[in-house]
Amino acid sequence: MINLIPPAARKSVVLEYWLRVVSVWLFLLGTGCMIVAVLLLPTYMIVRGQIANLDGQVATATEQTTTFDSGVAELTKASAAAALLTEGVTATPFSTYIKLLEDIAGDTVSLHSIVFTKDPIGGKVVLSGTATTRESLAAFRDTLEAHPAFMDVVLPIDSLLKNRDLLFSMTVSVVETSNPAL
Amino acid sequence: MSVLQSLTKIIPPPTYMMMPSMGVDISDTSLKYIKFAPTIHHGTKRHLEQWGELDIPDGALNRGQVNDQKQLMTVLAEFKERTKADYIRVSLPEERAYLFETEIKRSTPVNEIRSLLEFRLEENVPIPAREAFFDYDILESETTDRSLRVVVAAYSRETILHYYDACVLAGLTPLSFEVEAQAMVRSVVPRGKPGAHILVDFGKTRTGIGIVLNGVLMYTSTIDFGGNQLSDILRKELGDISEGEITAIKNTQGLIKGVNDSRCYDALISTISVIKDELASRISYWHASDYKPENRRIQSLILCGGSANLKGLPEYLTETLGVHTTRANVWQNAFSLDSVIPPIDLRHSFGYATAIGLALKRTV
Repeated sequence: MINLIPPAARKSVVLEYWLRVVSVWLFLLGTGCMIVAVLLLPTYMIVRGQIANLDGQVATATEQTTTFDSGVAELTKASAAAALLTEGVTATPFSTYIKLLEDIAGDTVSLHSIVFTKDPIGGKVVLSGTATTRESLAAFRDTLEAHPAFMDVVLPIDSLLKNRDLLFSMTVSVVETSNPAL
Repeated sequence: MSVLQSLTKIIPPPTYMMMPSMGVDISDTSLKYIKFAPTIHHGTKRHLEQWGELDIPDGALNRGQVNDQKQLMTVLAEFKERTKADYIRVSLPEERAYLFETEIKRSTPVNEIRSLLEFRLEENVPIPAREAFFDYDILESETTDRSLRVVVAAYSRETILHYYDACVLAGLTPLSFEVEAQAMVRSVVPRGKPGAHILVDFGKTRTGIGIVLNGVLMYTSTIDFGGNQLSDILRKELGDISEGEITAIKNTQGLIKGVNDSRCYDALISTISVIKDELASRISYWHASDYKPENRRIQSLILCGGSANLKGLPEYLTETLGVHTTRANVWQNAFSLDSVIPPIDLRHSFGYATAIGLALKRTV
């Protein structure tokens, strides 16, 4: 169709027309989105409710799992303790080892503390005390090493620095025997 | 009907997008306007929303040339005040139009057609291409596999800018400018009617002639002779009588020879024969066209314009020119007269043919 309007004016008219077309389409698109949003709102609410419900169930389950895990840990501990007690019926009493250590220490070595840790293959004893001389401490160590009821005697070298009245701490592995006194 | 057209019928585009506009026919003496209410029932149930006529002061326009832009702007401002219109479609005077047809290769890219036509413009129009605004229409019916037949309409830049500036100064936004006869085609030639037809716009001061081929305006011409001259001749013959009486005589006696008094007939027939001769020469010129003349025979003559009510005119032209002549039904492409009664009576409706055609245009 012939249109003799000045070219510049024609451009602006065409531009305005397309602006109107675009704005109408955008309006339609917006309206469509709005309708879709309104239609999906009940679904969204239901899904949201279900998610909240499931979140609650997950939280409860997590809490129950934590309780169960701590129960399992307690039971494992109790089981281990029970196993020790069961084994303890045949094991050598601590007092036998204490007496043996005091005998070996004699008069020159004075034991202040004896910490005994029991394990399935024997145990570990941490001794601390005072030795009158370096020789007596070394002799105590050598005697322990030589005794069949003990092994792996560890005496830190700094415990042997002084000549007299030596404060020491040593670790001794205990070998489970039926008669440690022998 | 294309898929898009069917879809548009089912889901009509909103009014806002269609940019509703008013058809404004500016002649030397008056401004006529028509607006249809936006509707989806195109061609059957349009509703006439606004219409009217404003007088243009003498001297503001002369033969389509704007002599006093300020006066034209004042009339347009009054029109805006009355109608509250924003967008308008305006007719341009046929007297200032240059129309020619040409042929271009079918393979010519669309964006190069305008540049090509600019060169042709120099050959066919007596104004330099840079001083002209032009547009073109492709004649689909005349197109072949190798060539496109194109009709070009051109106006001097000055003429168009005078009209455009007056509209803008009046606060109106023109959407389109069209040759008056092209707008008229849209209202008076039945939509889709093939063939060549001649339109005669019998106005107050001049008579416009347009030849339309398959809905496209191919030729325009103007005769400086209109209804006012007929009135003057009658006044000379019958004495100093009022314009109303003159109009009544023209519309009731006109070219019908009375049994007792043939003064009216005798006075008018010699003048009307001048118009008839002019029409005959235009028809001969058109029939002498060297491009497919067998397809271009004038099939009918359609009369419109304010002075088309002259009694006996269609019969006279049919008899003398040998072309079937009818008065236009200006509403036929707007609505069916079976379903809508137009508020403008038949006698006055002929004067609104151009404005109706402009208002019917829907494309940007």
